[in-house]
Amino acid sequence: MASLLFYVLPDANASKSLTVFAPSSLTTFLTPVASSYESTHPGVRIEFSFSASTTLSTQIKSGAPADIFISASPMEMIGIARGKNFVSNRVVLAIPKSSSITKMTDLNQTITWIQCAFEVPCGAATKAALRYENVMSKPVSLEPKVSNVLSKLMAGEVDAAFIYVTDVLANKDKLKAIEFKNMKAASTTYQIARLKKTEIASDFYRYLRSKQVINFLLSKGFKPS
Amino acid sequence: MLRVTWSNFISDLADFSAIRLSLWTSLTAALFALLFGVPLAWFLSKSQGRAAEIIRPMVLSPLVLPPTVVGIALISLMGRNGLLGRFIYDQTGWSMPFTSVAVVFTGIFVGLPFIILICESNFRQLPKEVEDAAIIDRANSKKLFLEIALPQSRSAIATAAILAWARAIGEFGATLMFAGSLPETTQTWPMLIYQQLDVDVDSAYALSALMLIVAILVVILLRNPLREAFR
Repeated sequence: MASLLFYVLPDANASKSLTVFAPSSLTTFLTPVASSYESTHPGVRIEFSFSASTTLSTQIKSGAPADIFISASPMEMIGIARGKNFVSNRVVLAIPKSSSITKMTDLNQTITWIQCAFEVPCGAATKAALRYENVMSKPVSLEPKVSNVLSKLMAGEVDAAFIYVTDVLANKDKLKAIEFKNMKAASTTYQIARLKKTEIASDFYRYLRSKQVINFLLSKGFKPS
Repeated sequence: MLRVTWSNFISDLADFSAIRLSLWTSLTAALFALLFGVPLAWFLSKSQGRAAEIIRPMVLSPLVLPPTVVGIALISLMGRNGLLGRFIYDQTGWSMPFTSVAVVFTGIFVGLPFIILICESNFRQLPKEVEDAAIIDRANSKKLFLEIALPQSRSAIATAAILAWARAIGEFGATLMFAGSLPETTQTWPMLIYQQLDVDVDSAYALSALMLIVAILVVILLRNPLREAFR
């Protein structure tokens, strides 16, 4: 009976736990990065909170206990910390592989399409890049998180969606992408900041900014910042 | 709530379209939930057979399911590729997601369990003697429902109506998943608050304060008039 308690009480070794707030577009990429770090640093447990950068920023300002914060654009760092450029990403028009859409202006036909809300980095980049395109139709929804946009596209609920190129690459067996004319306007620079000056936070922060991790992210479609 | 600077209250509310949308969709949802739910509750209260044992848990399920799962259920049913949705889309070219109808539909879905819970329990507790007397006088099932049961159920129906309305107006997660969020069409009051939290905190607080006031007022003011209205 006493031994059962060991499953319930926190492991004394894993008393070193780290909380990282990161944008939802980094979910599939940071999770394996953290796992490999945990395997080489026994006793350290990394916990993520993935959400829209604006939500994370509000939470941190309200006192949420984040050790490291990664935002999908410099805007959300303002008022929190001095962020360092991390990697950059760009928004593309994503369509199912079987789609007959070949260019942006095809959206003006009766196509159901969605994008992120303008307040989040992904939506802001979409809005900026769309200025250079001749798209007259409107989206049927402005989703608060890019992961919502992706899941609706993958579920077949919409014909097209503006998501990050990294999301398309992560699902390249089902999706294909059409680029914006102005790829710079469609880009967003992620920033990273260490919020707590502890040893484990500093160590993981250095690891995240290391060549090894950056190269891994570049291989997944991110670009250098 | 104390943070609301009342002088800026109206301007902080920014935009009334989300409030209007939430008000009309929740009222419509409560109405349809009543129209469909009260007779269904009567049926369930009288039913001896297996049908009720299958229907009841299905209708009550939104109570225990997290909003995301309710959203998935709605998409599976009425989405473009959904069980029913696929058929409707093929026949008419119309699909429910991303429309105001989707907001109402979600409201009905989450409000119906309250109607069923309250009204079925109410119907079961009605005095048998009155019903038996009516049956002796050769009242059929419809007469029993309309002229015997309903008049005695005013209070229950009023309470159920208020709860269904409250649940519908507060609905967020499932509506976001199923209907999406677009100002004027599908961005509801709670969704606007959620958005404004990250954009203009004062606006979020003002919108929340107003919602709290409306909710309290509705419960206080409408309870008795609703009961009388169902007389």
